[in-house]
Amino acid sequence: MEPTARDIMSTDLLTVSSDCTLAEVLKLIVGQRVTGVPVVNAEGKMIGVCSDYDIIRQFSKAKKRPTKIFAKKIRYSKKVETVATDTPLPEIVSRFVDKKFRRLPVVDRNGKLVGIITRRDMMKVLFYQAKLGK
Amino acid sequence: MKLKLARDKDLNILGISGIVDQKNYAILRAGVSQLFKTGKNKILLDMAEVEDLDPAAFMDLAQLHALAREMLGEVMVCGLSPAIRQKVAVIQPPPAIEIFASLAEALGAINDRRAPPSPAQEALDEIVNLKKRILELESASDANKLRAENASLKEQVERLQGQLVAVMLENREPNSIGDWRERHQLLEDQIADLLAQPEGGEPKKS
Repeated sequence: MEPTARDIMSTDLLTVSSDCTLAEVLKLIVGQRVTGVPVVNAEGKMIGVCSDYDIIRQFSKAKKRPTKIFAKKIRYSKKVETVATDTPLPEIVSRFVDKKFRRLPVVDRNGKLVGIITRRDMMKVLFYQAKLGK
Repeated sequence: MKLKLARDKDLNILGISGIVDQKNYAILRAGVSQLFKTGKNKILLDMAEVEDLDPAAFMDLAQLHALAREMLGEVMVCGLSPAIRQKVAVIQPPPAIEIFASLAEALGAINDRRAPPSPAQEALDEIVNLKKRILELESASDANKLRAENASLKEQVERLQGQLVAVMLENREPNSIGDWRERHQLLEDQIADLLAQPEGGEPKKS
């Protein structure tokens, strides 16, 4: 049986809320060695992703008094592609290849974030599929 | 043999019960392989309910462990009975599978190895908790608003009821006790007149 997003995703999630400060999210991304974190609202619904790119861009736009920037709220990408829990593996692979995603958040029917699939997860899946056969 | 899968964060716990012999080991191997193929390579095999284990099966599990190590995963075992443990100790080839006495011991040890949460994550958790509290307080203040609205509505109802009574009293005829007495007297007089009247005749004139 073909694995789906539900089988592959990691459920141990790091998330932030939209009113987190730049300093908080920066420390989280560096400390946890991730490239971005999903932004969720109070109901756990995914509303965006704050990536290392978003943080660097926000820094690049601060011209005066750079230390003040740490207390500012994060700017994040609100347009985020997600996959449903029942998305089959081949479709997930094509999304990673065609759109060069670093990560694909997995959401349930109500848009609630339930997991995440990273490039690292995909590499493990592909490694073991090649070793053990489909 | 039966398999049951549970998860604890990134750890996959495969509970095994019954006899693991050469015949049915294929089922266990397929289960572990299936986990690998979905990228789950940190696996704890809980063998507390295993009645017997074929040593060859354990040797193959060691190979699966080696495969897990290639992607920084591992296959571990817990809950072996003393008899099976003795069997395994004799045949276990390197790289050795880590064996824990019980599931609780395994979970404790694995949890200790996990990286502690970073100060940033701890701070974020605190923020999330505070925000939850704020939401709770906000919803509580909504309840207070509703209570205040309810009290004001009750006041309005009482006021309207008072007005209604006043209107009814105002429109009542006669509208004073003296008038009621007069009317009562009049009716009594009329009754007395009717009683004094002979059947079919005119009332008596006094």
